[in-house]
Amino acid sequence: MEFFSAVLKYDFLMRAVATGLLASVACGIVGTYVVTRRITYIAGGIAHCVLGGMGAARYLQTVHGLGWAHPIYGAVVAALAAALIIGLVSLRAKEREDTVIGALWAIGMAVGVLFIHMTPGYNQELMSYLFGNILMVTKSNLWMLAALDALIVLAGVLFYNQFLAVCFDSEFALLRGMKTEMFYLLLLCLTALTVVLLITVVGIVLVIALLTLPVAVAGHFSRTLWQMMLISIGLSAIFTIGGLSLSFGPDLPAGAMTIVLAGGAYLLVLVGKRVFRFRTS
Amino acid sequence: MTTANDDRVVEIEKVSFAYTADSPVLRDATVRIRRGDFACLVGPNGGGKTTLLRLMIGLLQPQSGAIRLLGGDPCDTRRRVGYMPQHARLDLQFPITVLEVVLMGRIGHTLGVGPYGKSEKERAVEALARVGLAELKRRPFSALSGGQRQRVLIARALACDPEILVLDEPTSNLDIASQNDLFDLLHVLNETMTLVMVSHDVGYVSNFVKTIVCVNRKVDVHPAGEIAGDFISDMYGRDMRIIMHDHKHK
Repeated sequence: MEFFSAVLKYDFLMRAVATGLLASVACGIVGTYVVTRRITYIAGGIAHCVLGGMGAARYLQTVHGLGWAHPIYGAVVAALAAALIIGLVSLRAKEREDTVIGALWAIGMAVGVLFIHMTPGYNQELMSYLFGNILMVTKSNLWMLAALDALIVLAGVLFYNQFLAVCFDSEFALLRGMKTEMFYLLLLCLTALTVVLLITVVGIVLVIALLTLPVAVAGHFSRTLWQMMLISIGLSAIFTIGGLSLSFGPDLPAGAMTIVLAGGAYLLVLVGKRVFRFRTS
Repeated sequence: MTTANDDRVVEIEKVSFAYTADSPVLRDATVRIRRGDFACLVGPNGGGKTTLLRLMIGLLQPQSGAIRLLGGDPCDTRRRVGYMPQHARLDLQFPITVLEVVLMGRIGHTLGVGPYGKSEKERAVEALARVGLAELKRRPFSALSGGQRQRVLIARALACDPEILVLDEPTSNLDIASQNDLFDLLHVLNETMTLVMVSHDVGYVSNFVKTIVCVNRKVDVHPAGEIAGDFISDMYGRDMRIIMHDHKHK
């Protein structure tokens, strides 16, 4: 309760809550596509490539005095580039897809670490890139995140039928004259933007968990894709705000708390289902 | 031959195809299918039946030879085809209802943005009614039996308003009773459209099939023969035909 009165008092907490709620909406929609299309590994690859972009942007900002090069823009560029490269490789190249994703995953991180090392000063920021720091969101960040969110939601809802078709039976959609490759790449780009949104909340390392755990829980209670999305949005909101409020008092990292909550809920649903089935049978 | 060429909906001329350079799957295959035909592709596993089907609808490109579908390049004309894939290929954990599966067949017909309109939904329910499953439209696809799932996929193909229905192993994993039901349905559909199907059964095909295409690297086309074995009728409780694979003995 202390948390909720504090939210009304402090702007930075208000912004953190707003960020959490915005991210939840994108997370529920795109997470559902990612889980049902079984491309969480791709989402993970994209997330880790982001460190390269953030590190490079931070380097340009500090060493070359490019004030506009905020790490979040670096994150957007790196995420989109990674999404397109992985997407084209999985569609066209004869290379093993998981090998390419794994390689990009590591290269992205390595580039990020190099840039961060070359940037002078005490780099506390690395930790907040990796594990998120929702309390650091500034007013201009929030506007940018809101714009990203609007874009993701709009595309995710407008092209619901197309994404459903591509995720369920891409070959059939192709035969109906749909540009399936384009929609697949668009889906990966939306995933990239969602990953950027979520990185502010839980950080690079924990992104996949927040993208998949609410959907995994929702999967047990939904029979259609849109039900899955709505339930996931609600759950992500509960997990992020819950993580924020539980970590506020004892001053713990909010991102980690959020993921522990989500993981706990998933485990509870699995065990609960088992017990319930055991009782009824 | 006096048949006009536009009477042929599928023309495959001397087509060869290989996934890897050293092992050809099809060699010099020639198949022509008339409008109104009910063609069944049979042959052993790995013989190239499904490959031939996929070439026909432009999902694969031949290394040599020519393929025309409804008088044009398959990639341009395949929207006039209703395709039913092997249902084992689909993800049964996917959260989707029967109606949503069938609505996929309407995708090329709509503007594309936003939810499906009322008339599209009506068309989808109509297609479901034709396969006798209209009352299951709200069920999850994964909750259906194998035979019902095949029928839903046929309904989806019908929702495309096709001139040709292309079915990849529609009878796989079905018991004899469900197979017979399915062939009754296909027989009715054959009155208004051309049917091309792949069957995993090498020995026997339904009496409703008009043309048998034997695919085993090379291709031989037979009109469905007149030889029906009594013992087969006894075994299946139904008229079936033996395919005379006499080309093998030549």
